[in-house]
Amino acid sequence: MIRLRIVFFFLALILAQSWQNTYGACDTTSESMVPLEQLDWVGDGVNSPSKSPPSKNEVEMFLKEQMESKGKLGLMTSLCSFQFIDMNNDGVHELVVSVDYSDRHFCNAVVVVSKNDNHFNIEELSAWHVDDITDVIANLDNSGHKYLIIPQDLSNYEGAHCVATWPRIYQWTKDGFAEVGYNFPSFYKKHLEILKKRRRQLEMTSASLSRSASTEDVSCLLMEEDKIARFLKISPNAGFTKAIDWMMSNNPLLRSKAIRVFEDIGDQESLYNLSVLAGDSDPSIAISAKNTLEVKRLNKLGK
Amino acid sequence: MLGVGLVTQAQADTTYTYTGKAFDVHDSFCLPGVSCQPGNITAAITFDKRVTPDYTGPAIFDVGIHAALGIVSLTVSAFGITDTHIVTDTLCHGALDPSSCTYSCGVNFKNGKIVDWQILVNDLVGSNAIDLSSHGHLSYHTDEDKVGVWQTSDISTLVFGINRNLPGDWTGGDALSIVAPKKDDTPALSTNNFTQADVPFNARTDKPVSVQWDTKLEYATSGGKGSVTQQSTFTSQSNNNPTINNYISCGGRLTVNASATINGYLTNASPIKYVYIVGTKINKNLIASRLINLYTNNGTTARATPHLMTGIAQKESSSAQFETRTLYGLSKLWPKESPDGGSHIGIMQMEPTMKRAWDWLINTQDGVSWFSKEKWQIALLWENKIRKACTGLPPLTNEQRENMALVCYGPDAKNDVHQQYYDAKCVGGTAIDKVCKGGTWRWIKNVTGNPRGINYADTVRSLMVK
Repeated sequence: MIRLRIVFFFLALILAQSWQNTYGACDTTSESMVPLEQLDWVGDGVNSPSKSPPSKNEVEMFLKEQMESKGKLGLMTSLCSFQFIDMNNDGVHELVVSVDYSDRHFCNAVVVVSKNDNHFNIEELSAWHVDDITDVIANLDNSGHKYLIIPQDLSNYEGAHCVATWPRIYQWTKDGFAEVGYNFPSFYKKHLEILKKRRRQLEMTSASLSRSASTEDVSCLLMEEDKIARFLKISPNAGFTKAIDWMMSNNPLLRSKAIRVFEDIGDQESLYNLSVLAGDSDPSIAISAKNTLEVKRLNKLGK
Repeated sequence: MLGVGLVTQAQADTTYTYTGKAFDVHDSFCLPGVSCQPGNITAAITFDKRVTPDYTGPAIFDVGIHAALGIVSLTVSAFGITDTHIVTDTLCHGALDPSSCTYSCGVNFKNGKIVDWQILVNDLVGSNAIDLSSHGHLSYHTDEDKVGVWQTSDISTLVFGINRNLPGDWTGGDALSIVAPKKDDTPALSTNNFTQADVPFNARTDKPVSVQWDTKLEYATSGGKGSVTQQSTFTSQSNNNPTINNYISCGGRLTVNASATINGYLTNASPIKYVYIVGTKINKNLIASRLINLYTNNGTTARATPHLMTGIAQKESSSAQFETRTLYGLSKLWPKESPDGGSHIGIMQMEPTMKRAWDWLINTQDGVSWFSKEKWQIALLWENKIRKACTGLPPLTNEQRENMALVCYGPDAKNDVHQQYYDAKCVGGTAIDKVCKGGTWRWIKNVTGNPRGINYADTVRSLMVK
C-alpha cells in the first residue's frame, strides 16, 4: 500500500511538473509570469521589467486601468509603443509609452508612468507621431539621465499635407517634466543644419515633384528652421517676413501656416496680422485665426 | 528560379540561373506562321547551387530535348567547370530525329561550385520551329566515390527555352504568350461606382488550350504601410475572347503569370511585370452626397449637421480618394496618403488597408461609422463625466456632441476631461464641489484646454459643403 502511495506521489509530481513546464513554456511566449503591477521596478532583479518584460497587451491593459483610475477614459487609450527605462538614473524603472487617443493611429502623446511604493503616477506630454518611443529617448550628456526629445507640431494639421514639427527636449524628474532644450544649443544647431540640408535637397528635386507638393514640403521645413532660429535667438523674429508673404498667398495651406508663425512670435505686429487673417475669405483660415486670437486673449487674462 | 523574361530582342544568349530546386519555366518561340529566320542559337544554363548545399559527389544530368521540326542538330556541352573531376567533354551531339523530337544525353560529374551547360542548336528551318525545350533531372550518388543507390533530386522537370539572337518581334512568339494584359497597362477603377477595374486576360498558343492564370496584386503605401498581397488563380481558354477578371476594392501592382500544358509539357509564359491597377477621379459632389447619406442614415440619433462628414473629408483629404503621385516609379492616380508615408489613407484618412485605400465607398463607410458610433460614444462618456461632476449641468445638444466627437476624431484627441471641446463653468456663482452656489453650471467652449483640438473641429465645420 505504502509502495503504491509512493508511486502515486511520484506520478502526481511528474504530472504536475510536466503541466507546469508546458504552462510556463506557453506562457512566456505571450504574457510575462509576473503581473505588471507586481513587477519590481527597482533594479534589474529577476522580477524587474528588464528580466520579466511584459507583453504589449499587458502594458496596454495596465495603462487603460491607470488612465481610468486617474479619471481618464481607458477605452480611448491605444498603446503605440513602450519601454521600461530608468529615466533619472535613480535605479528605478519608469514606463515610457507613446499613445494614441484618436484610435486612428495618431501616436501624439508621450506618457511616463512611475511607480512610487504601490502608487503609479502619470505624466503626459503632447507629441507628434511618436510611433516608436525608443526614437525619442536619448542620452544627451554623460549625466546618466535620459532625455525625451519630443516632436511637437508647429503648423496646423491639414490632413494629407505636411505638418511642421520641432523637437523639444524634456527631462523627467519625480516632479514631472522640465523643458531643458536651452541647455543643448549644439543639438539644435546641428538639427538646424540637417533641416537646411534637407530643404536644399528638396528644392533641388522639386522639379520631379508636383509644384504644390514641393511648395508645401518646403514651407514645412522653412517653418521648422525658423522656429529653431527663434529658439536659439539667432533671429527672434525669424519667419515673420515669410509669414507675411504666406498671408498674402492664394494658397490656404500657407495662410494657415502664417497663423501659427504669428501665434508663436506673438508680438503686436503678429497679433495685428492674426486679426487680418481672422477676416480671411476662406472660413477655415478665418476661424483658425479667430481661435488663435481668442487663446492669446484668454491666456493674457490668465484664464 | 530560372531566369525569365527572355523574349527580348537585345538579348543574344540566355542564361538560366538555377537558384531553386525545380525548373519550371518553358519558353519557346516562333509559332507557325510567325516568321523566324534559320540560324544557330546558343543558350546556356547555369547551376549555381548543388543538389544539396553540402553535396560534392558525382551526379548525372539527364536531359531530354524536345526539339522542333527543322532543328537538325543539337550540341550540349558543359563548360566553365573548374573542378578537375568534372567531365568537360561534349555530352551529346548529332542530328535529331524529327519524328520523335526527343533526344537525351547524360554526364557524370563531380559537382563543381558552378556548372554551366551550353546548348547549341542549328535550326535550319526556323519558320516552323515551335520550341526547344528540355526535361532533365539531376541524379546524384548518395555516397561519394562509391557505387550505390542513385537518388533523383526533385529537379525532375527541367524545362528551358532558347532565345534566338535574331531580329524581330519576339513578344508574340512564345508557345504560350500573354496577349492581355500588357506590360505597363494601367487599368483604372472605373466601373461599379469607381470601385472596380476590369482587366482582360488573354493568351495565345498554337492550338487552343486551357490556360491557368496566377496573378499577384501587391499594394503598400509609399512608406510601406498597409502592405498587402493578394493572389488569385483562374483559368481561361487560349486564342479566345479575353476573360475579364474584376479587381474589386483593390489596386496596386499586378504580376501576371500564365501556364498551360502544351504537347505534354507544362509551359509557362513570360510573366507580365507589371500591370498597374490605379484609381479614378471621383466627383466631389458624389462623395459629398454619399457622406451626407451615410451620416444621416447611420444609427438612430438625429444628426444635427447632416453635412458634417463633408467637412471632415475636406479637412482630411480635400475630399479625394486618389491623387496624382508617384508609386512603383509610376506617376498615376494612387490612394491619397498622409505625408508620413501613408499611415492614413483616402477620403477620411483612415489607417490603411487594401479596401480603405482602393474603395472609396468602404473608406467613407468606415470613417462615418467610426465617427458616428465610436467617437459619438466617447463624446457621450465625456459629457456624462462632466455632468456628474456638475450638478444641474444640462445635457449637450446634438450639435455640441458633434463638436465633442470631432475633437476625438482629429489628431489632437485628448484623454482628459478638461481637454475636450466643452468644459463646464460655474457662471454667476462659486463652484463648491459639484454645486455651482449662487449661479448655474454652463457649457463653455474650452478654447485654452485643447486649442488644436478645437481648431480641428471648427475648421471641419467651416469646410463643410453647403
